[in-house]
Amino acid sequence: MATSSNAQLISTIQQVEITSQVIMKITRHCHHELEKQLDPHVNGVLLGLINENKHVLEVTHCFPLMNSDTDEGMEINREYMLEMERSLRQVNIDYQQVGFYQSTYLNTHCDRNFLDSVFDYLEEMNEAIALIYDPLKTKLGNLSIRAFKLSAPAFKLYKEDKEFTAEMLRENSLTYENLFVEIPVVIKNSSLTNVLLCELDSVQDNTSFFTLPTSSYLEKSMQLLLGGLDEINQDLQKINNHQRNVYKQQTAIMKYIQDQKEKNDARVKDGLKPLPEEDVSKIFKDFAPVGRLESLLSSNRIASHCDMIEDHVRSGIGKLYLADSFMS
Amino acid sequence: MSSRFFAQLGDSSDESSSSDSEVEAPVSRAPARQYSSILEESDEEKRVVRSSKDKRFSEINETIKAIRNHKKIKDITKVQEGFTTLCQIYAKSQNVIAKNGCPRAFIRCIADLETYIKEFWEDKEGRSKLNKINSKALAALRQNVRKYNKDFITEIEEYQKNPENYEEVIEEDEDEDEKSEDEAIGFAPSATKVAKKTRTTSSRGGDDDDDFDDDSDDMWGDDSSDESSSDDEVPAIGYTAAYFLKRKDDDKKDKPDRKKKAPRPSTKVASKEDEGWTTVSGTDKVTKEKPLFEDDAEITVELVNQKIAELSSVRGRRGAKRQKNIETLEMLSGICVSENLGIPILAKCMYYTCLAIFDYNPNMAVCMKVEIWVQLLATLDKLLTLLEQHREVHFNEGMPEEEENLEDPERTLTVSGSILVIMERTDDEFTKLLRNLDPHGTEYVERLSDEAKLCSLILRVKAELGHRRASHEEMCRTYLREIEHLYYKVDYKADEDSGPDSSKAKMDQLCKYIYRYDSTDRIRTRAMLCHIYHHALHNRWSEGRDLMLMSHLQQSISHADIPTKILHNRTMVQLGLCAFRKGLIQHAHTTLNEIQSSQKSKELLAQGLSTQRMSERNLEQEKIEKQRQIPFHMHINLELLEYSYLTCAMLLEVPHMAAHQFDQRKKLSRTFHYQLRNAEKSPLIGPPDSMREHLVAAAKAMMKADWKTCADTLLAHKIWGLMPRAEEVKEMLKQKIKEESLRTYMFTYSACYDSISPHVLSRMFDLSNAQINALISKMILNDELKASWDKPTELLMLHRAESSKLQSLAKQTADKLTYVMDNTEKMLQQGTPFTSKGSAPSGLPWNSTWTNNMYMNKGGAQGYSGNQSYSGQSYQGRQNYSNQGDRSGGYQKRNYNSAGGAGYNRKTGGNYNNSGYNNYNRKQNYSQSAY
Repeated sequence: MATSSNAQLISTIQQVEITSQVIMKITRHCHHELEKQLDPHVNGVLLGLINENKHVLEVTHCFPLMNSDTDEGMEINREYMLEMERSLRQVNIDYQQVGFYQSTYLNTHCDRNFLDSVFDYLEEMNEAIALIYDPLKTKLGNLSIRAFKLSAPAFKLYKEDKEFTAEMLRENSLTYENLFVEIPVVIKNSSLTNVLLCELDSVQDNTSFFTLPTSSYLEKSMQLLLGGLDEINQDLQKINNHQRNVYKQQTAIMKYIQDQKEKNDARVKDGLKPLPEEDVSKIFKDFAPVGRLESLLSSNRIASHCDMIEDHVRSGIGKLYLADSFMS
Repeated sequence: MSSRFFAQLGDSSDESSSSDSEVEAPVSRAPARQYSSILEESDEEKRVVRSSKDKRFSEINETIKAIRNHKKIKDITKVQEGFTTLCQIYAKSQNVIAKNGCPRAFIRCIADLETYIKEFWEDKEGRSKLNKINSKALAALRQNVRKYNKDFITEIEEYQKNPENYEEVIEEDEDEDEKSEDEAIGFAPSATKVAKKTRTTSSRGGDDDDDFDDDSDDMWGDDSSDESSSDDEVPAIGYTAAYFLKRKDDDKKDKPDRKKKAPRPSTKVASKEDEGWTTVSGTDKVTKEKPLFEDDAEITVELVNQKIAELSSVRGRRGAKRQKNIETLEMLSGICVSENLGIPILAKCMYYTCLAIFDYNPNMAVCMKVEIWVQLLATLDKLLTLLEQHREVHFNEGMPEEEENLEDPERTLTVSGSILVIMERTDDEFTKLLRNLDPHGTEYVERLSDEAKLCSLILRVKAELGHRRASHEEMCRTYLREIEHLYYKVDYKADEDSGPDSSKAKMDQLCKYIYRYDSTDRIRTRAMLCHIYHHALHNRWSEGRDLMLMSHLQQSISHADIPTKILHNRTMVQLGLCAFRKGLIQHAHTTLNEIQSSQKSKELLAQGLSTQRMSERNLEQEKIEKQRQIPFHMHINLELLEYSYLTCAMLLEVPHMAAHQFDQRKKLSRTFHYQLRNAEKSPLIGPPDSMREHLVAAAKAMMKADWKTCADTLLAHKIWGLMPRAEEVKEMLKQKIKEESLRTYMFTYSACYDSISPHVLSRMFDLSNAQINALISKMILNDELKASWDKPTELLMLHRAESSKLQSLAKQTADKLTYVMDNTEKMLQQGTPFTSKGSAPSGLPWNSTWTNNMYMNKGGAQGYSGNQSYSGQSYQGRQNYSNQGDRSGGYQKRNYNSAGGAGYNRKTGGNYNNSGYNNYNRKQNYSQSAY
């Protein structure tokens, strides 16, 4: 029942509205950490409310969390979260947790941990989202904030089994593409803020528009892409090996059955009772199927790298052609 | 009968008391007669000369006896084995039997065997008791015997009719025998040992089985009897009459009971011969007063022959007094001369002297003493001189001794034996001798001077064989020996002299004879290798290489024996050195690489044993390897070899390293890299001292394209002095160093130039403009250098074409993608196996394959566009871009909709490969595009 309601509810939210204050907070948190040369991966809790009528999730507040993997750190985080919640309730601010935000470095966020936390949030609250903020891109002038959630089949599968088997994937037609669902993000500002932005816009000079994308960014993306390909390759090899082993076992089993049959036939001929048929599975152990989750995740990463490269390069190419036509 | 024995015993004891000599005296009896009386306890060695007939028969007897024993204990398997051996021996001794008739014991044995088997077979109960193996053997034996006996039906029938006849005959033989023995003894009253030596077994022995046993033991190298023979000098006196007399009674008692049976070939021939023979007594070694023959004995050819045969019969025995044998034989040849007995017997004497000399060392691995060696040479020399003077005398290797003709001038005078074998043995001994001498001592040089003698001996043997119309096979063997003494010697006149006397012409002539007439593969292979070696030694690279390639030796050498393999290694090394001297660095490197890279060049060339860290070989192996060693004067200098090899490696590797700075995977020579790495480890680098240090220093200089230092360091080492034509080689190397330094320079520093003048290069590397031009053009042609000549300004224009990091990343991505694609295809080919349970928990679903395909495509397409766009900044063309972009986009779409497949992947991959980075260099303008 829970799952079915989840599935319904997940589909209801079609948009995420974020106030600029939240974005500023996230940006500040992230850049602050980056400046301190700490772990570039920062995360925090999003607060807001669900507008079920408009199928919109409104994110109105957020607060950062400590980045820690240790148990102690987690404990502190939890206490801190409760404390914050209480305090926020006192000042009458939305205190409902609607997800978390996380920074990313060149879209490398999509890993096992990320999946785990998304799942955890979803289990607690059906409409929880994960907000991904890319500080690098933002630095280049394009604010990058994306909202994700686990797709319904993925959620279902993950609940059943943390290592996806190939068969499960097939049954649920789950591919790397519908592992996560991206929800469009809209930034909502108060009218006053909008007015301020308009003023700022006129002040800003637009020369930076013509700067070409740097190649170091591309190189790094390519390197990450290569890494992803390596992972895929390893995975493929694993599958190949597995397949070969399974095939070998199959032939062995067939041979065994054949032998058994022949033996029994001979026994029947000699007037003896046929041997009891033994369970083949006892003799031949099944190989553990190759988990598909890692491969799905790395595919996902590769896809996002590709998107990123494409985006990055697209603007550059456009500028180049533009410049070229000016030249001629 | 008993009285006769008595008398005999009395005689022998008399003899022993009257003359205390221990000398071996031949018995003038037909070799078949071993049946004279002797004390049972006497463990004197019997020194009766035995013909091949005898040998065969005793073998047969032995086997028969074994069969009989096994029959008794019902060991059918052994009986069967015995029967098979018997049949084999019978077949082998066919020619002897043809002459002497079928031995009766043999007939009796097979007849008995048949009856035995028949009885056994019918005795069901007894048969069922047999174990499986034995009953099987019985069945097999039954069939075999039946089949076999068909050939002897008549004989067997005869035997079955009157079996006692067979016994009788033997009895008669016995009598005859003893008579002749008496005569024999009468001839030799003074020889103590006559009785001892001519001990009969059958006349005394009770059970004939035992007789055979004793007999065979005594005849065939039983150690105990051998040993005892060596100490018979002293106790000869101890065997006094009393000793013998004491036994007489026993003998007497026993004798009548004893059955006398022995396999008895027809003895008529032998007994006839007996009459003309005399017994001789040997010299007394202690007193040296006794002559070799008795004073009054008439020395005839037969007598001498007998003596020789007797001496040769103890060959290879432990107790044999080898030194004395040699002396005796020499003495015999002296007698032959003085008594004027004719050439053949003299030749035979000498021949056997040589054999005795070879036997001097019982152990094959031990080399001769020098004195013995000198003696051997002298004897062989004399023998050859003799043969040269008397061409009518022939040596025949395969001929049995009985057919020798030593006297009768009517027929061809033939001596059994082969001078070729003697010559080959001598040659081998020479090698062994040199191997065991200290190569730096004066003695080695002294012995080495014998080689000339040995060579002349070989030549003379060759001539003699030629005169005697020896078979092609023999000639080939002789030629090979000559070649093997010739091929490694440098002919210093090779350049000026190309006449028929030059070593080249000689090698050609000898080898071609072998190529033409040799039927054994080994001699041809060896000759060919020697030929190639000789070519290589005299800088005839192309001839040597052609011969090597045409003969396909390299493919077949793995099947050859080890000495030939060693020769092959030597040849390859020599060929490599030849290529090196000729300046064919690449060839030299590949040829030498095989030997040098193994770190075992010493073993491979059989030039000593390298010290190994782990004791990989045990003593046994070491011994074997030591026996393979090549004498020092034939060695190829290993230091020179290594230095040459490393120089080659340096000349090839340094430019290669410079060209592939970022890609160190491909290494041409591991050894060279090892040296470089080793040198880096040392904390302090002083001026080069050892050969390797010289090389490393040179390589380091070359890496900096400093050809002068490189050449100076490399050529400073004194080892080049050992290289033939050192000056030429040095000049060549200098030239090569200049060239390779130039290449290194271009690889390393071309990035620093936009253009460079060949004149500058010419000055830098001391090469002519034409040379510079040629070298650089070649580099451009081989795609090693991105440059072009600018003719009007006479400048080399360099193009910057190194791929940027991004580009190389793009390349890597492409590689990885093809790899992914291959894997995916493999996976698809394998299909999806299902378990027997019908479910496919472990199988790979189509879906995930699809997934892989998709991301692959996406990756491919995106990677491609990224790459494209980057290239767009510099070189990429519009056409390509838009085409590609559209198409891949289209594919992408299709892939999302349809299930997608490997074929599609291939297309994308292909497109990507084709257009993606092949177009880097194509400059096209970009103006409009899909974007």
